[in-house]
Amino acid sequence: MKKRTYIWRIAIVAILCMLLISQPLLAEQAPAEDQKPETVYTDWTGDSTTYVPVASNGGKTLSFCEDEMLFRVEEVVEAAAEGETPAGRVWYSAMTPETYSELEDSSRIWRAYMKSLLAITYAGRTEARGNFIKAYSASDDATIVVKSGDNALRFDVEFPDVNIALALEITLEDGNLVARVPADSIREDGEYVLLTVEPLPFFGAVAKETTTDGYLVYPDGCGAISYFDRVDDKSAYALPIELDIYGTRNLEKTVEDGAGTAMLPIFGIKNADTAVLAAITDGEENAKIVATTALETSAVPIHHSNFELWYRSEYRIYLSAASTASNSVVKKENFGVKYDPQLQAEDREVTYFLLTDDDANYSGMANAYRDYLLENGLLNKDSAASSDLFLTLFMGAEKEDAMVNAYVPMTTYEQAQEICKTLLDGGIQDLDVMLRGWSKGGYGIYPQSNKLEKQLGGKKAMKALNKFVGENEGLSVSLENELLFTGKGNDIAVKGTNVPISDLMNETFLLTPAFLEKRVQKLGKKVSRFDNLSTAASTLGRIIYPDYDKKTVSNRFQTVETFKEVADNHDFAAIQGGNQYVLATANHLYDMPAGSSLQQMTDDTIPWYYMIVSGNLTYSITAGNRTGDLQVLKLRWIEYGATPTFELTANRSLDLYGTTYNNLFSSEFTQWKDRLIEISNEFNTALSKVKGQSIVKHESVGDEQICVTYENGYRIVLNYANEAFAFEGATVEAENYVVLAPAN
Amino acid sequence: MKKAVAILLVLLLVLSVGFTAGAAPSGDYTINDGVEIAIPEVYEYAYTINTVLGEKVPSEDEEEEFVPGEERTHLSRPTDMFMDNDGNLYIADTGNGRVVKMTTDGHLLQEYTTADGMDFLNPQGVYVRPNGEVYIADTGNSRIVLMSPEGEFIKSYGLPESPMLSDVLVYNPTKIGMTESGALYVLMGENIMRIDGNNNFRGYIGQADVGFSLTDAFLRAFASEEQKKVFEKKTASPYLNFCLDDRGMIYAVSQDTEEGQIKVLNTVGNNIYKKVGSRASSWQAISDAINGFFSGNIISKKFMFGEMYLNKQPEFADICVDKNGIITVVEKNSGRLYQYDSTGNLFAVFGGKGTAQGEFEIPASLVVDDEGALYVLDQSYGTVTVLKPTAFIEKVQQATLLYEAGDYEGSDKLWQEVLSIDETYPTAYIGAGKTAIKNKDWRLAMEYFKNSINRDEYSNAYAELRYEFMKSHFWVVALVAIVAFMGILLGLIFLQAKAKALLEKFELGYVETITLKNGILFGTNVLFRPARFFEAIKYGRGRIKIGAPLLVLVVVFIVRLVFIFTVHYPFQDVNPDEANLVLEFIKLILPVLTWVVAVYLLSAQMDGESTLKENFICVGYSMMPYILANVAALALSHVMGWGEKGIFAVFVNGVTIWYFYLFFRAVQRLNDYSIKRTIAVCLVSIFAMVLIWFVCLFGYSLVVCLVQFVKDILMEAQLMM
Repeated sequence: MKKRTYIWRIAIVAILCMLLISQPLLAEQAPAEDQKPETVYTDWTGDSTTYVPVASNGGKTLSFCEDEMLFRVEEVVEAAAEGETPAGRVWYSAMTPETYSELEDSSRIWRAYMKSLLAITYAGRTEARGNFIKAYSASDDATIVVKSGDNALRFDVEFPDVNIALALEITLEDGNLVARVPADSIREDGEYVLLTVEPLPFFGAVAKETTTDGYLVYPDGCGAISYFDRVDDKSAYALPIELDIYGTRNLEKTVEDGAGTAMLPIFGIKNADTAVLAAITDGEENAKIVATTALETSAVPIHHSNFELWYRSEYRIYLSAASTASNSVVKKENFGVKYDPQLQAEDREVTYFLLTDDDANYSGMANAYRDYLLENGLLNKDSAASSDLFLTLFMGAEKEDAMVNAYVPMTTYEQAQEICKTLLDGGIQDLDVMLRGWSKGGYGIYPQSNKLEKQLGGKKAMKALNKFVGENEGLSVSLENELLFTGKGNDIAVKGTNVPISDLMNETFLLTPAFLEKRVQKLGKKVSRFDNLSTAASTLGRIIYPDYDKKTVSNRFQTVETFKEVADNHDFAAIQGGNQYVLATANHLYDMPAGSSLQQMTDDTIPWYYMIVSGNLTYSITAGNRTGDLQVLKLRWIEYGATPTFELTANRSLDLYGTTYNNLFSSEFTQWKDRLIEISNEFNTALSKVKGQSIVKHESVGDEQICVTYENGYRIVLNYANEAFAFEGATVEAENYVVLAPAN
Repeated sequence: MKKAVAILLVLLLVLSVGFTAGAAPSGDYTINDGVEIAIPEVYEYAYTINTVLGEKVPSEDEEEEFVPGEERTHLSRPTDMFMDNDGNLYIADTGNGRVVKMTTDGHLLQEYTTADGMDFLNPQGVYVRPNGEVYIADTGNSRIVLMSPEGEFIKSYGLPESPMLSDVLVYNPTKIGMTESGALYVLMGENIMRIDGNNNFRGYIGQADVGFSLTDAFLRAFASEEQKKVFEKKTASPYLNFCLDDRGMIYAVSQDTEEGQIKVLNTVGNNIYKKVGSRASSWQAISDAINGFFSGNIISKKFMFGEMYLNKQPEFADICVDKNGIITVVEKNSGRLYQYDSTGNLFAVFGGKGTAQGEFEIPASLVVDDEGALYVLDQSYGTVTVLKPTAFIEKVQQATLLYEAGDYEGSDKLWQEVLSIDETYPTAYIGAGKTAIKNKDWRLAMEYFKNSINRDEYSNAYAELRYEFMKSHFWVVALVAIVAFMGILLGLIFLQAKAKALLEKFELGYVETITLKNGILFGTNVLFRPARFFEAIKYGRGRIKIGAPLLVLVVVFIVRLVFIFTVHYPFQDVNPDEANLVLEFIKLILPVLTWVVAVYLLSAQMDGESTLKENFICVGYSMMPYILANVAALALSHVMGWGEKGIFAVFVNGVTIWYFYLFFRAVQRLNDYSIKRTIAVCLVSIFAMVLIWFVCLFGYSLVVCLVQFVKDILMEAQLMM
């Protein structure tokens, strides 16, 4: 009898446990609401030897050839003159047999890769060393079932050996090719789990032999370009570009500055008179961009770029904690990589914008993507987007001292007001000021305090500043709040090993995304009564990261959702960093990159990012007092369409020696005052015609000369050289620029 | 303590730069007082020569001749580079067994692959004479070859014949250089040797004193003859690379930590560059301590060329000097470049290891052109990276040159311009300060030197200022000094009389107890008559309260803190910003307290008569000289310059001997020990002190290890789940 009750008890507990565990799982898998009407697919019945049209719109036709397992998009061309065949341009889903048949050296695997519709990587369920295997849809160990639907194609791809299956849906929408990997199509029934998917890895790829007129563009920093005709003049060790979208996936590096990341989920390939702009239009937070020209290190002489969509988080683990306890540098073999058991199966979608002729260049790509963002409400169209100066005032920081850390005031609230007054009196009409390190304890105190600093003047002085802002229309003052970086506490994000995500010094931690809203409210609590002051959000547009804490779990997708929501709830005056998810709400982006990371594959930096967002919101790059050559930086501001920016203090920067912020060069306001007024007024007058206008074209017109064209036809010619430059009858002085009015 | 550990970690992990909001975009910096200071970009990445464009094809007359072609080739493990007067680059393309001559945009002009019927094997050095003749160190073939500009073989040099070279088994010349007079310098192994035009050996050059190593001497003293043979033969610090300037000066980089890794050798081989390298011998600690003692522990500017990278001394791969004497070196492991002026002031640190353009994997060679652009040869990537000076560094270099040329006004104007761009740039303050000295504006100079944390120069400027003041106010100064001296003397006489009276009253019992009120006056007797004073304490057992000696210790600590914060700038031994209360307590008070415990415990075992309280009282009072001497030193420091640091040291450190003597006498008197016995007890007490600290530290680290162990186990367990 006794035994039976025991079993009963276990059963009840087990059921309860199962209920508890399944609840969050069920909640997470709830289907999204705003789904498009489902396309009904039937088995492919078309002719297998020729290209059979599937869809036609936007001046292009999508057709499919079953024997070659290739589809293509073709330009619909008006009937040509008699005797001429219409020459519509064609984009193939993968490399055509003609291309790779000539590549005798390429191995069997590479051949399969080049003709594949998709490639995946997978690993064993219990993998702990980070090993994985790559498989290709065109290889012998994959089966494909083709289906067609209304204007669409569907490929059900299965890898029977490892029991993994997924589908790729292809449609043509307004002449753009759209590839989807529906979440519900993914199956992992065996011992293996899916890690990544590369949809259409060779779409738009260019064989080296076919042309030298073209390039790859990728959003490294503000944009970078690698020309086909310069591919032979690269280091023998140049490597492909890999960019994690929105923030590095390597949690050890999240807190450090974000190299190897992209703010936009796009890449571009120009091939003579055609170009492809690829953009992840759904699920971009879990992906990276891989771009490679036909480098010496490449296996095949083909310029290609693709997205790698991640379906599982991975995290580094210490395989033997005991052996790493010594002071010696941690050995590589002591690390392993584990994959999250949970599949992150959101729908993924990649759109390929197909461009031709005058649009077949990075300017055309930028215009197409800007239009896409605006149409879909992903980019804030701020009609009042203009600013003559974005001024960061550094207020104060802590200095380590004998007894307690000493506070070093750099700019008091009253001095901030004085500075604003001086600048407004100097004629600056549109002045945006951000106070950095305004709160108690100063800059770099984590978590940031929400109290005012007494040594800066406290409540009374802030009140006066608030009043002053209210009285001056062209002035806006915001308080910079550190949202994501925090100190050790209960509200920090952890890795899969339950260890906090932190910097090497274990001083800076990351806030659990779930607590972000709460933190924003807390930071605003004490200053909310200063109704004329707004807030600026530090790091919000700069990094994303997951949190593995069981209570507050958030993957990259959920983190982005949280960030978006917070940015939506609070109208931040400025946001640090420009990851795409903040563009829908941002008014001003600050601390933006002034260049790219100049990887060996890169030939040039281009302001690709700025071309896309220009005219819709304002942004600022390097501060004018952080350079040795202000004249060149000023040209850069103009070229990028950026707002002039400075980071100043009332006291001299020498006082910051020994604090956590000893990186300002010269920052004393009195010293810079005149330059500030001069430059802002110059921007306000000379560049008034292009204010609030988008950059539609950016091109080199000489070795060190750039021409930027705005949507209203105005052009700015910039001359970075030390000698004057003649351009269309106008003379551009050395290290200077001219604004050219449209011809008519 | 936590703070101290944190500081240490910062020093150890220089690489782990945390995230700062608006960090300087360039990452270039300078080092001042061991602290990295961000500066505006100094060299801008211009471009990289990734490949050599051109090929050598047979021409019509079927002789191999250079014809410009379209072929692009990569360099393979290149090791040396030279720039001729026309601005063409010569590169020892070691892996490809050739030397290439090319333009700075990578167009091949000439290729040298073979000489005297023998193909080059691992050529590692190249030097071009003004007439275009090329010397090639054909390392793999153990020869140096002279070629005509057109690639014709002229002459070949093997190992010179000399009894001094009899132990050279394999001749492997690497870097070469030549003076106008025709002396050829060759880096062979780790030595630079000089050879004349007839291939006669003229000796090794720039051999540093091998120095004396304590551990080495110790080992040798006890080693057998056979063991001695095993010990490595002591040699001078190895040279890594060198270059020559127009005057025939040799600019060399070595691994010499004694004189500094960068040397400028004149023709007789003497190093004329600032000899300020950090020492790294076994004498280090001892000599540091001795120097510190006699100079009053003043912070002296620690100088080293380059910086430690991953706990390793810098290893400079190459050095170049421009026409103005500005020296640039490149460090092999960190990939960083360091630029110095002709007197060893650091301008900037830039470059670095990495995969991006403008970063290096293994930099091997460095040249500078007439425009000041730097060319860095990367052995691993096989590329030449070209860096162009920015307007900022050009201003800095120009300001230095104007100063050297005697144009102080022009120099100052430029330094002010530099400071308007970067107010925190220390080199500019040194420059501006030097100009201010030339203009006899001592106060301004002092301010500049203080801004650059240069106590040495500050002190010089101060000495000048003081001299000027003395000259004009001599009689006033003299009068004040005499009056002050007399005053202090009279005060001391009066004090000692009063103290003596109190002591006598105490001895006779007229004063029953010594409390906080009269304790300080009572304690001053320790300064004048220590033996009698300690006797009095012994016989007055129970009548002396602990308050006054405790107060003395508190005052000692306060004096120390006041000293740190108010001592004259050049005499600081701790930077007030970095001062740490806990650390100061550990340094000053903790040893005293441990001494009390140790002495009490020991004397109790050795027929001692003293109590713990008495020991404490004696030791407390014995610290009174410290107060006196430090207050005096503090006051004097404000009228002293660095030249008088000896006097300062007597006050600050000499007093240590005084109170050590008092400690000793206290032990002796309290316990009625003989001198011999006292010495024994004191020595054992010191040992006991060390033991006490050791046990405490040991316990602490054990706990830490235990905690770590448990943490590790938990983590492992978690991962298993």
